[in-house]
Amino acid sequence: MKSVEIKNLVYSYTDNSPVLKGISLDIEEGEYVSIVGHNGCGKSTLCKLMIGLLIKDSGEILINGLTLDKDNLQQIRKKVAIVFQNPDNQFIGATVEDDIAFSLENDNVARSDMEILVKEYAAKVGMENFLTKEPSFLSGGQKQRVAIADALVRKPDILILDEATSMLDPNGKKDILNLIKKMREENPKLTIISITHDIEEAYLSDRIILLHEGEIVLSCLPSELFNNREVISKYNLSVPFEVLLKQKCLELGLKVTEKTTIEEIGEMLWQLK
Amino acid sequence: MAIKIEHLSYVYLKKTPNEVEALHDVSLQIPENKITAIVGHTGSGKSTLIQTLNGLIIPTSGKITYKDFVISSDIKKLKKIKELRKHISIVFQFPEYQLFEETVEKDVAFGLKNYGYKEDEAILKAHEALKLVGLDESFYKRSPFELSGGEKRRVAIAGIIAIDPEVLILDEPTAGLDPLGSKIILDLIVNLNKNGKTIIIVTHDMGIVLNHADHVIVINEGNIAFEGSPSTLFSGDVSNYSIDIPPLFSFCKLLESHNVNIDINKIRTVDDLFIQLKEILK
Amino acid sequence: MNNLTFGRYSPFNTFVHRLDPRNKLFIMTLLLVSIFLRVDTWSTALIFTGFLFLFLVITMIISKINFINLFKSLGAMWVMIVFLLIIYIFIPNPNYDPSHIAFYIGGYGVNYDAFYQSGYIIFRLIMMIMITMILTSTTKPMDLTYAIEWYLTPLKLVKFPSHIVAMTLSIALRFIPTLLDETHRIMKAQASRGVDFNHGGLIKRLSAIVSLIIPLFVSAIGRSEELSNAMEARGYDPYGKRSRYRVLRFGWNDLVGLLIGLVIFGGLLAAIIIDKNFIKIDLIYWIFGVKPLF
Repeated sequence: MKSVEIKNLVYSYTDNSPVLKGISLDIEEGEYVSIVGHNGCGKSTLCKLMIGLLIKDSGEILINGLTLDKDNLQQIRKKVAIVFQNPDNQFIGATVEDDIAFSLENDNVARSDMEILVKEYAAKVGMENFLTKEPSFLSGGQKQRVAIADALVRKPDILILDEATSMLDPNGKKDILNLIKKMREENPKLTIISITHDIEEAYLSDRIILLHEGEIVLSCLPSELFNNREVISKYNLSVPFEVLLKQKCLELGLKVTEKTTIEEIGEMLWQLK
Repeated sequence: MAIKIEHLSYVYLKKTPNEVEALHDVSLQIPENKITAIVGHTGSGKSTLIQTLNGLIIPTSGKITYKDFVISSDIKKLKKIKELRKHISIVFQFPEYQLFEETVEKDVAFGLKNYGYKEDEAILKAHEALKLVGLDESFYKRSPFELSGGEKRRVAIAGIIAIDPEVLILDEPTAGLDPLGSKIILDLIVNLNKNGKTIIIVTHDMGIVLNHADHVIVINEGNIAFEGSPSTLFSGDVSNYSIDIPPLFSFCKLLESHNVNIDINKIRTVDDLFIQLKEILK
Repeated sequence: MNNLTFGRYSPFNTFVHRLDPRNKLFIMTLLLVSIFLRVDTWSTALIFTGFLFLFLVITMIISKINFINLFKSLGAMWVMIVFLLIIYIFIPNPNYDPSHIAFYIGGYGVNYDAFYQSGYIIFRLIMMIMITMILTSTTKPMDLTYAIEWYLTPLKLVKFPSHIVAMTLSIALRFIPTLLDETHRIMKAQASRGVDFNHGGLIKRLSAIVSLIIPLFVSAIGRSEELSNAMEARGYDPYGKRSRYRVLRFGWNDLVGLLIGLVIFGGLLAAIIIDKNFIKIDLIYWIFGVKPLF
């Protein structure tokens, strides 16, 4: 089943220069897609259109087969959740439990259910011991974990991560990546759309979409993108170490394939000597 | 001349129940004309350390010596501190938040005017600084608020470079930027260093440490946990300091352990490694 | 930062802490009114004020509030105290008894009554500070907003958006620490560019403040936009039906608290009425020869 269908989407902030110039895109249920591209390429705009924070100029967005328009906005927002970049600016409640409950209050969930759900989802992101803590006593990574609980507690079909790890330190980033992995294991039907600059993070996804100046340049497997040297140098992308290493080995005339591990490459190299 | 730090301690909220010792008897030297990286997890005391270096925080005990400037707990001459900040300047994390003037050139000139330069002189120096960070004339009269994130950051850095400090401290200079934006900033830093500036970078990114740093200082719970070269750091046990060894370095170690005769101290990029490998294979 | 300790919530679990914030707000309002109600005779006023003061001291002890904080805040009030004294001493009052001159300053007679009068006012101000301190030290700011929202609920009948006001208040409270941090950060960044926030002439100071205020505004506006996006994305609709996670409970202890408040207030009202109609002799006047002032 298609989770997201985008047809010929156009959007511009001002009249003259469109940020998105007719984007078409399908994302399957349970797929983990990374969207990469330089700042200003239209990634964040695309996200905001998908949850109806911006209204498209033309084109169509379908979520689970349902066309997004003004009337079913609240219905769609129950299916699509988003975690933004800045941990501070999406923490609304006074404490962790209030913040998770905020999402539930909006959905008019009964109080007795709320108490259970708040505890359950705080535990899912490993924040069960911080329920009464205020945001000023939490690290960036902890706040982002709460933001993920805020999103998941509404049981969405699609989770959008809009540079959710870019303001975190390495530990915070690692926590979030592990959490994504765990979420996918628990709920294989959850579609994840992650906007990221972190190439190692993008490398983990099922598919990478490269956006440039409001257009899709490439939509392929991560390894395909990183091995496409022309695209890499044209769009000034950085490349994960593994890919770079394999490229250099190929230049040396070694036979490496996509499945070759780093250890195996090492072995090849010391045997060459 | 190096910056000399001797027995530096700093206690937050002294004499209250919430007392925290951010730095504990820290002694070290920051070498001149080198790129020094300061590493440590959030709350380790590294941001306290850099703020003591230009007198934003006055230490509880110990002293810092740079040229004829001395910062110690009994410092009273604030005039002298302002003078020191002309020699040692900090670019804070997300420096784009400090922009406020109507035009880019005015914002860059702001610091200079605070240090007594006349308007036209300051604008001229601002133009030079903007050129250094790669922003041409078309930017001079624009509002800093309409620029992209990476451009804003370069304007903010230019605002510090314009003051022409000998020591430039940058706190997470690439945080939140896209790869292209990060590369521009890092190239700029390397360039400044080549032109004789002493650079101190606070970073979580071990890739930056391996690629660019000459000297690394690891701070852990207010103490100096390590001081030395990047390759010595990554060769040792770093499990306690939340440091990710760059995959390139681990790979080189793997090769070395199998008697591949590479000089690990000279490898900063994958290209460096393969240049050496080709030599060996000849 | 350190002088902000006055009245800040301190997380204990005392009888006063456990009171329903709505109830606490009501009781404290009653007490505040009590302080400023006019009592005709000196003796009744003194007895009553003394009793209230004792009651507040005991409440402060029960709620584990540090008295040092009270003295600190009084320290900040000394300008006001001096000001009050000057006003009362030098502005002639026809009600003062001309026979109660304490001393002369350059031919102007300073009346004893002026001291009594200003002392009484200052004493009442101190009690006012004590009451607000008890309220804010034992109630989380967020709970106070819930209480305020509850009191505003009847206004919904005239289409007053009390829940939106409460949401705005609670978000403002939530962002105070964040914006304080931001202020510190910007000050440090500008200090690195040679700004001196503590010294220099008027123009220098003005430019220093501008270099702080503008970035702070720009960042606050940016934050508010991101915040509203996050709220909307999480399904917040100010006009939709929302359930509540926090429920305020009126318990037995509240009944006790409320009764105490009502008894004090009722006692005062009774005293005033009795005072007006029955008591002909003012004890203090009788003993010390000081006339009632009002």
